[in-house]
Amino acid sequence: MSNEEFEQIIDRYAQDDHLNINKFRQQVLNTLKQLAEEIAVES
Amino acid sequence: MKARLSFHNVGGLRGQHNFEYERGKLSIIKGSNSTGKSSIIRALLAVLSVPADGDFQKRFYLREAEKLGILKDPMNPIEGFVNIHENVAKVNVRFNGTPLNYEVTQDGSYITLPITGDRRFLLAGILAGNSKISRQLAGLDDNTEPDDFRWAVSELSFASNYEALAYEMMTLKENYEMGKDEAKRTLNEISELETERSSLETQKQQLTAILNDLRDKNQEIKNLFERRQKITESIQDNKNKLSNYQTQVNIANESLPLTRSQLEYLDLLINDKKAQLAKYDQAIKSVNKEELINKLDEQVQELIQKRNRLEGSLNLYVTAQYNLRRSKGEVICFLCNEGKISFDKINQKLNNLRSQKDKFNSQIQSLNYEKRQLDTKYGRLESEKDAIQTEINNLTNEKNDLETNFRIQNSTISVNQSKIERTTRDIEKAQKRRDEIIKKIPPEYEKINVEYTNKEQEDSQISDRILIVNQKLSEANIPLLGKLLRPQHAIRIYDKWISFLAKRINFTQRRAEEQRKKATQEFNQNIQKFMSELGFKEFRDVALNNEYRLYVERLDPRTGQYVFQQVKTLSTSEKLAIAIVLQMALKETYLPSIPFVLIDDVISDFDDERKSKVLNYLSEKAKNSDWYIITTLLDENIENIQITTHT
Repeated sequence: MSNEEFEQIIDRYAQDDHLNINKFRQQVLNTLKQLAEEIAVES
Repeated sequence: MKARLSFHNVGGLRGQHNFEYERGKLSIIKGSNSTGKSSIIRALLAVLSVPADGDFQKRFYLREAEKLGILKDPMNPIEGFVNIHENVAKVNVRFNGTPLNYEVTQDGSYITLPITGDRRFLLAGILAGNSKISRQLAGLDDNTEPDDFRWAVSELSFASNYEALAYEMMTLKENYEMGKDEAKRTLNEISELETERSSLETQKQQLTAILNDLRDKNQEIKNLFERRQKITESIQDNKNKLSNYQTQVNIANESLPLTRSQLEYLDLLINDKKAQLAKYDQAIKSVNKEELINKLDEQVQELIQKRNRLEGSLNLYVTAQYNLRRSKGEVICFLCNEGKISFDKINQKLNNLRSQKDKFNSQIQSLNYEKRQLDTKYGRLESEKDAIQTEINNLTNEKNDLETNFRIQNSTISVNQSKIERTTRDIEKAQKRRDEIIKKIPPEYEKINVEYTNKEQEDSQISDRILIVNQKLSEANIPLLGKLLRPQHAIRIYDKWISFLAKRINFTQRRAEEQRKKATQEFNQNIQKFMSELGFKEFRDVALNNEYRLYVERLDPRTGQYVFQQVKTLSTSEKLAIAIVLQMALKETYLPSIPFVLIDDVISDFDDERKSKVLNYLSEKAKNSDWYIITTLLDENIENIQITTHT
């Protein structure tokens, strides 16, 4: 996921009157997991 | 256009109540104390602010809902939204043709929720004695300084959402930083363990060298002792052997004469048996067994032939007898047709013939018996001869064994004697070698042995520690993503995550700040606008500064100069004036689309001049914005609620 894509996700969550923080956390964790997998592939 | 409000059992107003408000007008709810003015405001507030899903989401809003009597305040549980004598409160408001309904039970359970409720209305839509702005300016808000209006540009804008997202990511980042620290500690532990292992291995190498040295010395001594021991053992062994050899020589010497006499006796026996065998041979050879047997067989065959012939005659006579069984007297012989025969004569002849046949049979039996006797006799002779021969063979074998034994005994004596000589020499040599070895063993042998033992124990301890260190090293992993990772790998992941989150936190905080700045700018513009519209000339530059603190410049009547004044030092009247400006600015900034402004228990506190000025302004504002501005106004002369439109 690109920088811009993730920033758009942040904007989308933040500009929702009904902030779903749990869903956002899950989104972040999934992204972090992908990053970890990339490291595993690199190494 | 009118907004029609009807409600049941809200606050102090029990039962059904209906009111109407003109759009674009300032409606004033007048009445004396405890007539239920605030309950009307509360009913409207609930139907406009309770979210469609009933979830206020944040403690910040829940607190406002409690303070304003929408939710049951734990600090003031008696004064609830639902009338204390009823179980359910109902509110209905209809404007723009859209009905909003709200129904809630005494215990706070929702029955019906308003479809367009906006929680922000709690902050932006109402000014009351216990609303946020009033509490804060009065210094009655525990959580906020009187001039701190950060909430006004955070909670009402998306800045608070950005802050919440940033906070969430910061929490994760902090966790990962802790995880990274842990991984670093583990890495340090690994480094320390590896250093320790290296040191231990060096120590072990040194110890191994010492041990090798000691072992060499020790081994040398051990070898000497072992050799001494071996020699001692070999001497003892040789002595044992010597004894054994001697015993064998003695036994052989003792057994030789006996063996010799046994051999002589066996020779006699064998010779005797051979003589017997010769006699049997002679007896067997003296009679020709085969010839005798053949003679007997010939005699038997001869007798059998005679008997067979006799049997032929016998059969003829038997037939003749049968034919003559009915004849009486003599008849012509039907065999020769000459002589005469009779039954009696034939019968007599048959008796003679049968007697002869019995004689033949008896002779045959006798000859056969003689033949068997002869056979048995010669068989026994042969058998006895064979037995003697077997006996001779056995005796010969026994003699051979004895002769072998005799030779062995002689040999044993000879061999053992030479062994005795050799072993005796060996013992002498070994004793000499042992004496030499004993001389070589140093007196400090015990000391070296103790040192070696100690070093050996030390070496064992180091080996054990190396095992533990290796075990710890193999276990030095970081649990992450459901796996056990090496600390270096975990640190790389944590670094990536922390870096990723730091950038997004930065972005999110920047966005939050942008939202706050934008809100502040708009808010300040609206403050200035309302300040100007209200004609509050005693104030200038009422605005939020960069730190979202309310900055107030007030005209000093003594000097005629505007001076900065801290919010908390403003008079109550001045705070009221500021409060109404700020409230209208909040409404204008954040919720211009909700056409309601509620004011409760505030206007009454103004002096008459300012009250009039404020009411006029609100009336103008309602008209210009096409809002329903509804305010309560204390009027002790009015016993029952009256709603009027300000003109």
